Amino acid sequence: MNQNSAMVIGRILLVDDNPMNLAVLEELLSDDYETISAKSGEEAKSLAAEFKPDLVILDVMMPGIDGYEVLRWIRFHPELKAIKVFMVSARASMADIEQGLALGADEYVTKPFDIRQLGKTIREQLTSISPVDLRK
Amino acid sequence: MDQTEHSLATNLFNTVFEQEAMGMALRAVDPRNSRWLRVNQKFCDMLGYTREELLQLTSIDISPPNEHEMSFEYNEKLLRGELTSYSRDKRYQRKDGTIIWTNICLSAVHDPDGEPTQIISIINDISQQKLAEKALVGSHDDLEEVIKSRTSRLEESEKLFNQAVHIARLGHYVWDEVVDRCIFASEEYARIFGVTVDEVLTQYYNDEKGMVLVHPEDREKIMSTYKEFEKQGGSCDIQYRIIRPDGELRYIREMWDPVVDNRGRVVQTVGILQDVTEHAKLQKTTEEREAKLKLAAQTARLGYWHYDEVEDEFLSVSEELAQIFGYTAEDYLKRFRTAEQDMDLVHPEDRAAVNEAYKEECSAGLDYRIVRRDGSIGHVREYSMHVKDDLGNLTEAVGTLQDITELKEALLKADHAKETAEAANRAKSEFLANMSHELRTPLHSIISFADIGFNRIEAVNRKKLGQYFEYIRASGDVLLGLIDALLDLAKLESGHIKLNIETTDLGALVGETIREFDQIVNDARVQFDCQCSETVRADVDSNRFRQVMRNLLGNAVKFSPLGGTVRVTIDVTSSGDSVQVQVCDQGPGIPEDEKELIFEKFIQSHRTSTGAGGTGLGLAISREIIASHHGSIWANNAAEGGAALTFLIPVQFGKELSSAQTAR
Repeated sequence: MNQNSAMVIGRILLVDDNPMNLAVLEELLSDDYETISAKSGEEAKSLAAEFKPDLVILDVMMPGIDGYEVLRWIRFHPELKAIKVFMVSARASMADIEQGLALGADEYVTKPFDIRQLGKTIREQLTSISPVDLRK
Repeated sequence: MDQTEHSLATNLFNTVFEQEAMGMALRAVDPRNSRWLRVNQKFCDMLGYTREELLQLTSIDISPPNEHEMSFEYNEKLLRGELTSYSRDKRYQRKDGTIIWTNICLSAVHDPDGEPTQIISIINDISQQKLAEKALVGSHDDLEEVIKSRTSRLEESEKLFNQAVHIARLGHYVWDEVVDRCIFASEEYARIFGVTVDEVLTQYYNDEKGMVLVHPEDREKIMSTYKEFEKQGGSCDIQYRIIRPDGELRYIREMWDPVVDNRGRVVQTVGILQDVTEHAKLQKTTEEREAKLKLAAQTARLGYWHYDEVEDEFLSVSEELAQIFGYTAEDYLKRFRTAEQDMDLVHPEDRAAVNEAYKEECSAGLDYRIVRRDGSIGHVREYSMHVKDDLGNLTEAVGTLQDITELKEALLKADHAKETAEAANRAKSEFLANMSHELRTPLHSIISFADIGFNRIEAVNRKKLGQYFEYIRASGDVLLGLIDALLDLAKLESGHIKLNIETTDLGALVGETIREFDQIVNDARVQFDCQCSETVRADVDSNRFRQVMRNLLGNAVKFSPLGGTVRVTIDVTSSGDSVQVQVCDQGPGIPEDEKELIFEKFIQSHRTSTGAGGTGLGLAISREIIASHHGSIWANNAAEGGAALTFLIPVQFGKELSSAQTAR
């Protein structure tokens, strides 16, 4: 366990249709954060509304409602629009990255990602949220 | 003479003297001094004097001055006795001043000694006669004048004729039909042939001799014209080529007319000849140019039209124009006399644009569609221009029309090819992006769990580490499966695949595959319902057939709700030559616009795919396998909901499905 992790408390919603990729995120983050996993866009929307995470790690390519649509939904949701959203995708072209950021993603991370770098970015993003916000 | 005789003579004289037929007068010999001694009434009447008045006058008094001298002369001769009498025409001046012509006859009267004492004059009024004479002289003079004038005009005319033929370079000749030879040739005539007049008349004087100067190819034409002329008569007009003695080629126009005698026989021919070489060359050049233009217009399929805006009808259309529409020009003008009728030839959808373009003074090239005579559609490009008079009123319009059907079709083909190429390019990019995604997804798990395991090797227990290795292994299997599927698809797509075709019981084969699923993937959450009414046998590669069934059943199971039923039917079609296999599930079905798309590589339907695994290549591979069996596969939604994947293959391998079966 990371030594700094105890200092950061946050709720993270993990979204990926691929069970193995979802397992990677769970393995990485569940010890340090309060995580919850969704296997589809639909599930992500209902869990986000219920769980009210501080951060959503969102896969882009999913059948049915894809990651972009979930992001758009979050950004238009009156209570959820301020949530940090990291897009994670195996689609790694510049066009994909630009599209994700243009839609309001805070980060666009391509698979395979550097697990240390991801951990660091998550910590930075979550510490920028005030403690009051975090415990809401 | 005695008294009686004398008296008788006197009476006789008096009677003669006073007769009324002619004038008579008696005077003394000297004409200057002697008054009239006696005059008769007739003489008085001639001169308009009374007898008393006249007896007071002398002969000189009543003679005009130009008579005086001659009167003296004759008088002298009478007095001298040189003449006993004389007669001449003499003028007198009447009392009213007018002149009369008379014929006088004078004789001297002698005394017994022989001396002349008196002159007796007999005067005849010849005024009428003189007038007639004068008239005769006058008309003779007139005639001479006319002849002179005509001669001069003739000379003038000949001069002008010569000048004219010289200017017009017209040669002329006269041909004697009796001796059948040329009897006259003008200088110009000889010059045209490049010879002298003398040579014409001595060397080239008849048909046979003259023919040597004619171009060999034209000799027959001339001879037949001559023969025609001999038979029919009348005028002739002929054009031919000559070769001058120096070898120069010239073009000649010759015209001639027969000269007929008073018995109606042709005795001569007169002809004129003109050197029309320059004109002929120009004409030839013009004809050549016209032919070239026509050919160019034909090659370019360019036609023209000419319209009368006042009469509202076509003045002309070229053959090329009519041909574009499948008509002759004559036919075209009969059917499409006016612009309104002409509009029938324009494709209905393009009529508004064409009408709009005609409103412009000058159309800068409008492309539109036409309907040809046979009903086919063509493409044309039209340029048109309105012509106005000085007052600005529209009078005419002219235009050209070019058949650009081939060009348009080529452009359409090129556009289509471009679109196809672009679509292929997009598909290729999409495929690469998708493939990259599909490869990165399992690779991501492999790398991540390797990293996590390595980082936590000291911190986690062996069980946890073992789980990481399991994840890595599973992802590796997915990756391998994907690569195998990709290679398989590539092999199928390239056609380099060897099929092991055997006549197989398809019902048994499907049953085997279902049992396989039951054991491996199904923990009683999905029911299978296989309906195969009879033994259905067909020529298939059983391994490939099983692969297709695994894909279809796999999808059906994957998307079925818990406790759902997957129904499989196998039927021989009514024609008996093909087999239809259908796999239906009770899942969400396939969106209408994705029914074709799901057979593309890496495309998973939005609604049906749950991300429960799969390479995204299963249906693409299935389609290739069915195609290799000359069959077809398609997706639909079942009436009761859920997806229905159906394929049709011929019973006998190598036979094609009927077009009705493939067209869906």
